[in-house]
Amino acid sequence: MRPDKNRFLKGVALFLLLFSVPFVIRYFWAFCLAPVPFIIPDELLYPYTGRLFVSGLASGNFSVFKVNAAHPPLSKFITWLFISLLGTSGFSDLGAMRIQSCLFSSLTCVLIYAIVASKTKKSIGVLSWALLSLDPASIIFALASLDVTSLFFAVLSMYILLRAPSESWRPYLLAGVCLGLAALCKYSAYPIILGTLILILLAEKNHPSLSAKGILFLTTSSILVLIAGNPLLWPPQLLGFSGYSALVEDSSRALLNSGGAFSVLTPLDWLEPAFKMTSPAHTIFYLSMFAHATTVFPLPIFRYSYLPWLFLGSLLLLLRQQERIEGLELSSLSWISASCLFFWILAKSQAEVYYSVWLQPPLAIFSTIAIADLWRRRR
Amino acid sequence: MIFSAIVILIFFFSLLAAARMIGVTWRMAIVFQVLSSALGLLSFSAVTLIPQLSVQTLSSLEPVVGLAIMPLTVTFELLTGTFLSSKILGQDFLRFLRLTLTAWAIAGALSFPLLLLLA
Repeated sequence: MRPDKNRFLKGVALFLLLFSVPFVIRYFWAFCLAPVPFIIPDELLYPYTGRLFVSGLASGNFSVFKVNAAHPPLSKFITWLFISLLGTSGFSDLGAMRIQSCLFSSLTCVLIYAIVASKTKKSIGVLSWALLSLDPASIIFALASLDVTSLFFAVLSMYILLRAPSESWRPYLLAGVCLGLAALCKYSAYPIILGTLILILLAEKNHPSLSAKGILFLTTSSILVLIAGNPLLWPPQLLGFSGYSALVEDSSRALLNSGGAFSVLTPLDWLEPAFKMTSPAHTIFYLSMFAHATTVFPLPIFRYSYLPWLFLGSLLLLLRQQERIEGLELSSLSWISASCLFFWILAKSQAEVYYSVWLQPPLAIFSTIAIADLWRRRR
Repeated sequence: MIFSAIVILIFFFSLLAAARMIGVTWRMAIVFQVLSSALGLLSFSAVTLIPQLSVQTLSSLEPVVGLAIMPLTVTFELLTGTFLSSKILGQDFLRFLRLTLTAWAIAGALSFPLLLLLA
Protein backbone atom coordinates (compact mmCIF):
# COMPACT_ATOMS: atom_id res chain seq x y z
CA MET A 1 0.00 0.00 0.00
CA ARG A 2 1.32 3.46 -0.86
CA PRO A 3 2.30 5.64 2.16
CA ASP A 4 -0.13 8.41 1.05
CA LYS A 5 -3.04 6.01 0.85
CA ASN A 6 -2.06 4.47 4.16
CA ARG A 7 -2.03 7.87 5.82
CA PHE A 8 -5.40 8.72 4.29
CA LEU A 9 -6.96 5.49 5.60
CA LYS A 10 -5.50 6.14 9.05
CA GLY A 11 -6.99 9.66 8.96
CA VAL A 12 -10.42 8.32 7.99
CA ALA A 13 -10.29 5.69 10.77
CA LEU A 14 -9.28 8.33 13.31
CA PHE A 15 -12.08 10.65 12.15
CA LEU A 16 -14.64 7.83 12.42
CA LEU A 17 -13.47 7.00 15.93
CA LEU A 18 -13.41 10.64 17.07
CA PHE A 19 -16.86 11.18 15.59
CA SER A 20 -18.60 7.97 16.61
CA VAL A 21 -17.85 8.01 20.37
CA PRO A 22 -19.42 11.45 21.09
CA PHE A 23 -22.21 10.65 18.61
CA VAL A 24 -23.16 7.41 20.39
CA ILE A 25 -23.17 9.18 23.78
CA ARG A 26 -25.33 12.03 22.47
CA TYR A 27 -27.62 9.61 20.58
CA PHE A 28 -28.15 7.58 23.78
CA TRP A 29 -29.04 10.75 25.70
CA ALA A 30 -31.29 12.10 22.94
CA PHE A 31 -33.27 8.91 22.29
CA CYS A 32 -33.16 6.95 25.57
CA LEU A 33 -32.94 9.47 28.39
CA ALA A 34 -34.03 12.97 27.33
CA PRO A 35 -37.69 13.94 27.83
CA VAL A 36 -39.75 14.56 24.69
CA PRO A 37 -39.77 17.49 24.07
CA PHE A 38 -36.74 18.67 26.05
CA ILE A 39 -36.20 22.23 24.86
CA ILE A 40 -39.59 23.94 24.62
CA PRO A 41 -40.85 25.40 22.29
CA ASP A 42 -37.76 25.06 20.05
CA GLU A 43 -38.03 21.32 19.43
CA LEU A 44 -41.66 21.69 18.38
CA LEU A 45 -41.24 24.92 16.46
CA TYR A 46 -38.16 24.38 14.27
CA PRO A 47 -39.26 21.26 12.33
CA TYR A 48 -42.50 23.12 11.53
CA THR A 49 -40.68 26.30 10.44
CA GLY A 50 -38.22 24.24 8.38
CA ARG A 51 -41.06 22.72 6.36
CA LEU A 52 -42.79 26.11 6.11
CA PHE A 53 -39.65 27.87 4.83
CA VAL A 54 -39.01 25.22 2.16
CA SER A 55 -42.60 25.30 0.92
CA GLY A 56 -42.45 29.13 0.94
CA LEU A 57 -39.23 29.18 -1.07
CA ALA A 58 -40.63 26.64 -3.55
CA SER A 59 -43.75 28.74 -4.15
CA GLY A 60 -41.95 32.09 -4.05
CA ASN A 61 -43.92 33.16 -0.95
CA PHE A 62 -41.26 34.90 1.14
CA SER A 63 -43.73 36.03 3.82
CA VAL A 64 -43.21 32.61 5.51
CA PHE A 65 -39.87 33.95 6.74
CA LYS A 66 -41.78 36.27 9.09
CA VAL A 67 -42.43 33.21 11.29
CA ASN A 68 -39.75 32.99 14.01
CA ALA A 69 -37.94 35.85 12.25
CA ALA A 70 -35.73 36.47 15.30
CA HIS A 71 -33.62 33.49 14.25
CA PRO A 72 -32.03 33.10 10.80
CA PRO A 73 -33.13 30.19 8.57
CA LEU A 74 -30.11 27.95 7.82
CA SER A 75 -30.42 25.55 10.77
CA LYS A 76 -34.13 25.16 10.01
CA PHE A 77 -33.31 24.30 6.38
CA ILE A 78 -30.84 21.69 7.64
CA THR A 79 -33.57 20.35 9.95
CA TRP A 80 -35.87 20.01 6.93
CA LEU A 81 -33.11 18.12 5.10
CA PHE A 82 -32.74 15.69 8.00
CA ILE A 83 -36.53 15.25 8.21
CA SER A 84 -36.67 14.49 4.48
CA LEU A 85 -33.75 12.04 4.65
CA LEU A 86 -34.66 10.25 7.88
CA GLY A 87 -38.47 10.48 7.74
CA THR A 88 -38.60 7.42 5.49
CA SER A 89 -36.48 5.47 8.03
CA GLY A 90 -39.13 5.86 10.71
CA PHE A 91 -37.75 8.92 12.49
CA SER A 92 -40.26 11.54 13.66
CA ASP A 93 -39.64 15.23 12.85
CA LEU A 94 -38.34 15.76 16.37
CA GLY A 95 -36.16 12.63 16.14
CA ALA A 96 -34.63 13.78 12.85
CA MET A 97 -33.86 17.17 14.41
CA ARG A 98 -32.20 15.43 17.35
CA ILE A 99 -30.00 13.44 14.93
CA GLN A 100 -28.98 16.77 13.35
CA SER A 101 -28.07 18.16 16.79
CA CYS A 102 -26.11 15.03 17.79
CA LEU A 103 -24.24 15.08 14.47
CA PHE A 104 -23.14 18.73 14.69
CA SER A 105 -22.29 18.45 18.39
CA SER A 106 -20.09 15.39 17.66
CA LEU A 107 -18.44 17.13 14.71
CA THR A 108 -17.59 20.03 17.05
CA CYS A 109 -15.75 17.54 19.30
CA VAL A 110 -13.73 16.38 16.25
CA LEU A 111 -12.91 20.02 15.39
CA ILE A 112 -11.67 20.68 18.92
CA TYR A 113 -9.31 17.72 18.52
CA ALA A 114 -8.15 19.17 15.18
CA ILE A 115 -7.53 22.67 16.64
CA VAL A 116 -5.52 21.42 19.63
CA ALA A 117 -3.66 18.69 17.71
CA SER A 118 -2.62 21.14 14.97
CA LYS A 119 -1.10 23.53 17.52
CA THR A 120 0.30 21.07 20.08
CA LYS A 121 0.52 17.25 20.11
CA LYS A 122 -2.00 14.64 18.99
CA SER A 123 -2.21 13.22 22.52
CA ILE A 124 -3.20 16.65 23.90
CA GLY A 125 -5.75 16.91 21.10
CA VAL A 126 -7.24 13.57 22.14
CA LEU A 127 -7.47 14.77 25.75
CA SER A 128 -9.36 17.94 24.70
CA TRP A 129 -11.66 15.79 22.52
CA ALA A 130 -12.32 13.44 25.46
CA LEU A 131 -13.03 16.34 27.83
CA LEU A 132 -15.58 17.86 25.45
CA SER A 133 -17.11 14.56 24.34
CA LEU A 134 -17.81 13.47 27.93
CA ASP A 135 -18.80 16.91 29.23
CA PRO A 136 -22.33 16.69 30.72
CA ALA A 137 -23.34 20.22 29.61
CA SER A 138 -22.26 19.53 26.02
CA ILE A 139 -24.21 16.25 26.05
CA ILE A 140 -27.39 17.54 27.73
CA PHE A 141 -27.65 20.75 25.72
CA ALA A 142 -26.59 19.10 22.45
CA LEU A 143 -30.33 19.09 21.72
CA ALA A 144 -30.35 22.87 21.19
CA SER A 145 -30.25 22.46 17.42
CA LEU A 146 -29.81 26.12 16.45
CA ASP A 147 -26.96 26.63 18.92
CA VAL A 148 -25.02 23.44 18.20
CA THR A 149 -25.30 23.85 14.42
CA SER A 150 -24.15 27.46 14.67
CA LEU A 151 -21.41 26.49 17.12
CA PHE A 152 -20.05 23.90 14.66
CA PHE A 153 -19.64 26.52 11.90
CA ALA A 154 -18.23 29.04 14.40
CA VAL A 155 -15.62 26.54 15.65
CA LEU A 156 -14.82 25.62 12.03
CA SER A 157 -14.20 29.32 11.35
CA MET A 158 -11.85 29.53 14.35
CA TYR A 159 -10.07 26.34 13.25
CA ILE A 160 -9.38 27.78 9.80
CA LEU A 161 -8.20 31.09 11.24
CA LEU A 162 -5.97 29.80 14.01
CA ARG A 163 -3.90 27.68 11.63
CA ALA A 164 -3.84 30.21 8.77
CA PRO A 165 -0.68 32.06 7.73
CA SER A 166 -1.34 35.83 7.82
CA GLU A 167 -0.01 36.49 4.28
CA SER A 168 -2.73 34.56 2.53
CA TRP A 169 -6.28 35.92 2.14
CA ARG A 170 -7.89 32.54 1.34
CA PRO A 171 -8.20 31.29 4.93
CA TYR A 172 -9.90 34.59 5.86
CA LEU A 173 -12.37 34.12 2.99
CA LEU A 174 -13.07 30.52 4.02
CA ALA A 175 -13.37 31.47 7.69
CA GLY A 176 -15.67 34.37 6.68
CA VAL A 177 -17.93 31.97 4.77
CA CYS A 178 -18.03 29.65 7.81
CA LEU A 179 -18.78 32.56 10.15
CA GLY A 180 -21.54 33.68 7.75
CA LEU A 181 -23.02 30.15 7.88
CA ALA A 182 -22.76 30.19 11.69
CA ALA A 183 -24.58 33.54 11.80
CA LEU A 184 -27.17 32.11 9.37
CA CYS A 185 -27.95 29.52 12.06
CA LYS A 186 -27.84 31.93 15.00
CA TYR A 187 -26.84 35.59 15.14
CA SER A 188 -25.01 35.05 18.48
CA ALA A 189 -22.08 33.60 16.52
CA TYR A 190 -21.19 37.11 15.26
CA PRO A 191 -20.49 38.95 18.51
CA ILE A 192 -18.78 35.91 20.02
CA ILE A 193 -16.40 35.12 17.16
CA LEU A 194 -15.69 38.71 16.11
CA GLY A 195 -15.26 39.72 19.76
CA THR A 196 -12.83 36.84 20.23
CA LEU A 197 -10.80 37.73 17.15
CA ILE A 198 -10.56 41.41 18.11
CA LEU A 199 -9.53 40.46 21.64
CA ILE A 200 -6.86 38.03 20.36
CA LEU A 201 -5.51 40.75 18.10
CA LEU A 202 -5.48 43.29 20.94
CA ALA A 203 -3.77 40.84 23.30
CA GLU A 204 -1.18 39.67 20.76
CA LYS A 205 -0.22 42.52 18.47
CA ASN A 206 1.94 40.29 16.30
CA HIS A 207 -0.28 37.23 16.23
CA PRO A 208 1.20 34.60 13.88
CA SER A 209 -2.03 33.97 11.97
CA LEU A 210 -4.29 37.00 12.49
CA SER A 211 -4.20 40.53 11.11
CA ALA A 212 -6.58 43.50 11.32
CA LYS A 213 -6.93 43.62 7.53
CA GLY A 214 -7.69 39.92 7.46
CA ILE A 215 -10.40 40.27 10.11
CA LEU A 216 -11.94 43.12 8.11
CA PHE A 217 -11.93 40.89 5.02
CA LEU A 218 -13.46 38.05 7.05
CA THR A 219 -16.21 40.35 8.38
CA THR A 220 -17.07 41.58 4.89
CA SER A 221 -17.25 38.08 3.41
CA SER A 222 -19.32 36.78 6.33
CA ILE A 223 -21.79 39.69 6.02
CA LEU A 224 -22.18 38.93 2.31
CA VAL A 225 -22.94 35.27 3.10
CA LEU A 226 -25.41 36.33 5.80
CA ILE A 227 -27.25 38.72 3.47
CA ALA A 228 -27.32 36.22 0.61
CA GLY A 229 -28.64 33.43 2.82
CA ASN A 230 -31.26 35.29 4.84
CA PRO A 231 -34.28 36.43 2.77
CA LEU A 232 -35.27 38.85 5.56
CA LEU A 233 -32.21 40.93 4.67
CA TRP A 234 -33.11 41.13 0.97
CA PRO A 235 -34.57 44.39 -0.47
CA PRO A 236 -38.31 44.96 0.20
CA GLN A 237 -38.89 45.31 -3.58
CA LEU A 238 -37.92 41.66 -3.96
CA LEU A 239 -39.80 40.35 -0.92
CA GLY A 240 -42.93 42.49 -1.11
CA PHE A 241 -42.50 43.49 2.56
CA SER A 242 -39.81 44.85 4.84
CA GLY A 243 -37.90 41.84 6.12
CA TYR A 244 -35.83 44.02 8.41
CA SER A 245 -38.98 45.30 10.19
CA ALA A 246 -40.20 41.70 10.62
CA LEU A 247 -36.82 40.76 12.11
CA VAL A 248 -36.83 43.70 14.54
CA GLU A 249 -40.46 43.11 15.53
CA ASP A 250 -39.93 39.41 16.26
CA SER A 251 -36.62 40.05 18.06
CA SER A 252 -38.20 42.64 20.35
CA ARG A 253 -40.63 39.93 21.53
CA ALA A 254 -37.66 38.00 22.86
CA LEU A 255 -36.69 40.86 25.17
CA LEU A 256 -37.77 40.72 28.79
CA ASN A 257 -40.47 43.35 29.02
CA SER A 258 -43.00 44.68 31.43
CA GLY A 259 -46.30 45.52 29.83
CA GLY A 260 -44.61 47.57 27.12
CA ALA A 261 -43.42 50.18 29.66
CA PHE A 262 -39.76 49.19 29.27
CA SER A 263 -37.74 46.33 27.80
CA VAL A 264 -34.60 44.73 29.11
CA LEU A 265 -31.91 43.79 26.61
CA THR A 266 -28.98 43.93 29.04
CA PRO A 267 -28.85 43.99 32.87
CA LEU A 268 -28.10 47.74 32.64
CA ASP A 269 -31.65 48.34 31.38
CA TRP A 270 -33.02 47.64 34.88
CA LEU A 271 -31.79 51.17 35.69
CA GLU A 272 -34.47 52.69 33.45
CA PRO A 273 -37.51 51.66 35.55
CA ALA A 274 -35.49 52.30 38.73
CA PHE A 275 -34.93 55.91 37.71
CA LYS A 276 -38.46 56.38 36.38
CA MET A 277 -40.34 55.10 39.45
CA THR A 278 -41.56 57.72 41.90
CA SER A 279 -42.23 55.32 44.77
CA PRO A 280 -39.07 54.45 46.79
CA ALA A 281 -40.21 50.81 47.19
CA HIS A 282 -40.39 50.35 43.42
CA THR A 283 -37.05 52.11 42.91
CA ILE A 284 -35.40 49.80 45.44
CA PHE A 285 -36.99 46.77 43.80
CA TYR A 286 -35.67 47.65 40.32
CA LEU A 287 -32.27 48.63 41.70
CA SER A 288 -32.06 45.21 43.34
CA MET A 289 -32.94 43.61 39.97
CA PHE A 290 -30.11 45.63 38.43
CA ALA A 291 -27.73 44.57 41.23
CA HIS A 292 -28.61 40.90 40.87
CA ALA A 293 -28.44 40.83 37.07
CA THR A 294 -25.12 42.66 36.86
CA THR A 295 -23.30 40.66 39.52
CA VAL A 296 -24.53 37.12 38.81
CA PHE A 297 -23.39 35.20 35.72
CA PRO A 298 -26.64 33.95 34.16
CA LEU A 299 -25.55 30.47 33.01
CA PRO A 300 -25.19 27.82 35.75
CA ILE A 301 -22.19 26.21 34.02
CA PHE A 302 -20.50 25.19 37.27
CA ARG A 303 -23.51 23.05 38.15
CA TYR A 304 -23.76 21.21 34.84
CA SER A 305 -20.16 20.80 33.77
CA TYR A 306 -16.70 19.93 35.06
CA LEU A 307 -14.96 22.07 32.42
CA PRO A 308 -15.31 25.44 34.24
CA TRP A 309 -13.84 23.81 37.37
CA LEU A 310 -10.92 22.44 35.37
CA PHE A 311 -10.51 25.86 33.76
CA LEU A 312 -10.40 27.81 37.03
CA GLY A 313 -8.24 25.18 38.76
CA SER A 314 -5.70 24.95 35.96
CA LEU A 315 -5.61 28.74 35.56
CA LEU A 316 -4.85 29.21 39.26
CA LEU A 317 -2.13 26.52 39.18
CA LEU A 318 -0.57 28.04 36.07
CA LEU A 319 -0.50 31.49 37.63
CA ARG A 320 0.90 30.06 40.87
CA GLN A 321 3.79 28.53 38.96
CA GLN A 322 4.40 31.87 37.16
CA GLU A 323 3.66 30.16 33.81
CA ARG A 324 3.27 32.56 30.90
CA ILE A 325 -0.07 32.27 29.12
CA GLU A 326 0.36 32.63 25.36
CA GLY A 327 -0.46 31.09 21.98
CA LEU A 328 -3.54 28.87 21.83
CA GLU A 329 -3.96 29.18 25.61
CA LEU A 330 -4.33 32.98 25.34
CA SER A 331 -6.55 32.65 22.27
CA SER A 332 -8.89 30.25 24.06
CA LEU A 333 -8.89 32.52 27.12
CA SER A 334 -9.95 35.40 24.85
CA TRP A 335 -12.64 33.14 23.38
CA ILE A 336 -13.93 32.24 26.87
CA SER A 337 -13.96 35.91 27.94
CA ALA A 338 -15.76 37.15 24.81
CA SER A 339 -18.43 34.42 25.09
CA CYS A 340 -18.80 34.95 28.82
CA LEU A 341 -19.29 38.72 28.48
CA PHE A 342 -21.73 38.31 25.61
CA PHE A 343 -23.98 35.96 27.58
CA TRP A 344 -23.68 38.12 30.69
CA ILE A 345 -24.76 41.22 28.81
CA LEU A 346 -27.66 39.44 27.07
CA ALA A 347 -30.43 39.48 29.68
CA LYS A 348 -32.22 36.61 27.90
CA SER A 349 -29.41 34.23 28.94
CA GLN A 350 -31.05 33.95 32.37
CA ALA A 351 -33.90 32.02 30.79
CA GLU A 352 -31.91 29.88 28.33
CA VAL A 353 -29.56 27.53 30.17
CA TYR A 354 -28.58 25.74 26.95
CA TYR A 355 -26.53 28.76 25.81
CA SER A 356 -23.85 27.07 27.94
CA VAL A 357 -22.82 24.95 24.92
CA TRP A 358 -21.08 28.03 23.49
CA LEU A 359 -18.63 28.16 26.39
CA GLN A 360 -17.62 24.51 26.42
CA PRO A 361 -15.22 24.29 23.38
CA PRO A 362 -12.84 27.10 24.50
CA LEU A 363 -13.03 25.83 28.10
CA ALA A 364 -11.98 22.36 26.88
CA ILE A 365 -9.11 23.81 24.82
CA PHE A 366 -7.74 25.98 27.63
CA SER A 367 -8.08 23.29 30.31
CA THR A 368 -6.33 20.65 28.20
CA ILE A 369 -3.36 22.82 27.26
CA ALA A 370 -3.03 24.08 30.82
CA ILE A 371 -3.14 20.53 32.24
CA ALA A 372 -0.54 19.40 29.67
CA ASP A 373 1.70 22.37 30.59
CA LEU A 374 1.41 21.61 34.29
CA TRP A 375 2.09 17.90 33.67
CA ARG A 376 5.18 18.69 31.58
CA ARG A 377 6.50 21.04 34.27
CA ARG A 378 5.97 18.47 36.97
CA ARG A 379 7.91 15.83 35.07
CA MET B 1 -32.32 49.72 25.67
CA ILE B 2 -31.13 53.29 25.33
CA PHE B 3 -29.78 53.06 28.89
CA SER B 4 -27.58 50.09 27.95
CA ALA B 5 -26.22 51.86 24.90
CA ILE B 6 -25.39 55.03 26.87
CA VAL B 7 -23.77 53.25 29.83
CA ILE B 8 -21.68 50.92 27.66
CA LEU B 9 -20.45 53.74 25.42
CA ILE B 10 -19.65 56.03 28.36
CA PHE B 11 -17.85 53.20 30.15
CA PHE B 12 -15.75 52.44 27.06
CA PHE B 13 -14.58 56.04 26.73
CA SER B 14 -14.07 56.31 30.50
CA LEU B 15 -11.82 53.26 30.35
CA LEU B 16 -9.76 54.86 27.60
CA ALA B 17 -9.53 58.10 29.61
CA ALA B 18 -8.54 56.23 32.77
CA ALA B 19 -5.91 54.26 30.83
CA ARG B 20 -4.41 57.54 29.59
CA MET B 21 -4.42 59.02 33.09
CA ILE B 22 -2.73 55.98 34.63
CA GLY B 23 -0.33 55.39 31.75
CA VAL B 24 -1.62 52.07 30.48
CA THR B 25 -1.93 51.47 26.73
CA TRP B 26 -5.49 51.36 25.41
CA ARG B 27 -4.96 47.84 24.07
CA MET B 28 -3.86 46.60 27.47
CA ALA B 29 -6.74 48.43 29.20
CA ILE B 30 -9.38 46.83 26.98
CA VAL B 31 -7.89 43.33 27.19
CA PHE B 32 -7.51 43.68 30.95
CA GLN B 33 -11.08 44.90 31.42
CA VAL B 34 -12.59 42.06 29.37
CA LEU B 35 -10.50 39.39 31.11
CA SER B 36 -11.12 40.91 34.52
CA SER B 37 -14.91 41.11 34.09
CA ALA B 38 -15.19 37.59 32.70
CA LEU B 39 -12.94 35.99 35.31
CA GLY B 40 -14.61 37.92 38.14
CA LEU B 41 -18.06 36.79 36.99
CA LEU B 42 -16.92 33.18 36.53
CA SER B 43 -15.26 33.10 39.98
CA PHE B 44 -18.43 34.36 41.64
CA SER B 45 -20.44 31.86 39.58
CA ALA B 46 -18.32 29.10 41.15
CA VAL B 47 -18.98 30.52 44.62
CA THR B 48 -22.75 30.43 44.04
CA LEU B 49 -22.59 26.64 44.28
CA ILE B 50 -22.42 27.11 48.06
CA PRO B 51 -26.10 26.63 49.06
CA GLN B 52 -26.19 29.78 51.24
CA LEU B 53 -24.95 31.83 48.30
CA SER B 54 -26.85 30.04 45.53
CA VAL B 55 -28.48 32.06 42.75
CA GLN B 56 -31.91 30.97 44.03
CA THR B 57 -31.08 32.23 47.53
CA LEU B 58 -29.69 35.50 46.21
CA SER B 59 -32.64 36.12 43.91
CA SER B 60 -35.19 35.43 46.66
CA LEU B 61 -33.69 37.99 49.08
CA GLU B 62 -35.66 41.08 50.07
CA PRO B 63 -34.84 43.91 47.59
CA VAL B 64 -33.16 45.98 50.33
CA VAL B 65 -30.99 43.05 51.43
CA GLY B 66 -30.19 42.21 47.81
CA LEU B 67 -29.11 45.78 47.27
CA ALA B 68 -27.11 45.83 50.49
CA ILE B 69 -24.99 42.80 49.56
CA MET B 70 -24.24 44.13 46.07
CA PRO B 71 -21.07 45.99 47.20
CA LEU B 72 -19.74 42.74 48.70
CA THR B 73 -20.34 40.80 45.49
CA VAL B 74 -18.87 43.56 43.35
CA THR B 75 -15.79 43.77 45.59
CA PHE B 76 -15.28 40.00 45.35
CA GLU B 77 -15.57 40.05 41.56
CA LEU B 78 -13.40 43.14 41.24
CA LEU B 79 -10.60 41.74 43.38
CA THR B 80 -10.56 38.21 41.91
CA GLY B 81 -10.96 39.47 38.34
CA THR B 82 -8.22 42.09 38.75
CA PHE B 83 -5.89 39.67 40.52
CA LEU B 84 -6.23 36.92 37.89
CA SER B 85 -6.06 39.20 34.86
CA SER B 86 -3.11 41.23 36.19
CA LYS B 87 -1.25 37.94 36.73
CA ILE B 88 -2.18 36.71 33.23
CA LEU B 89 -0.95 39.94 31.64
CA GLY B 90 2.08 40.10 33.92
CA GLN B 91 1.16 43.54 35.26
CA ASP B 92 0.90 45.24 38.64
CA PHE B 93 -2.31 44.37 40.55
CA LEU B 94 -2.71 47.76 42.25
CA ARG B 95 -2.18 49.69 39.04
CA PHE B 96 -4.94 47.73 37.33
CA LEU B 97 -7.22 48.06 40.35
CA ARG B 98 -6.74 51.82 40.12
CA LEU B 99 -7.52 51.67 36.41
CA THR B 100 -10.87 49.95 36.98
CA LEU B 101 -11.86 52.19 39.89
CA THR B 102 -10.98 55.33 37.93
CA ALA B 103 -12.93 54.11 34.89
CA TRP B 104 -15.94 53.33 37.10
CA ALA B 105 -15.73 56.73 38.80
CA ILE B 106 -15.58 58.63 35.50
CA ALA B 107 -18.37 56.50 33.97
CA GLY B 108 -20.55 56.96 37.06
CA ALA B 109 -20.01 60.71 37.17
CA LEU B 110 -20.85 61.08 33.49
CA SER B 111 -23.71 58.62 33.10
CA PHE B 112 -25.67 59.23 36.31
CA PRO B 113 -26.83 62.80 35.46
CA LEU B 114 -27.46 61.80 31.85
CA LEU B 115 -29.61 58.82 32.86
CA LEU B 116 -31.54 60.97 35.36
CA LEU B 117 -32.21 63.47 32.58
CA LEU B 118 -33.40 60.72 30.23
CA ALA B 119 -35.66 59.19 32.89
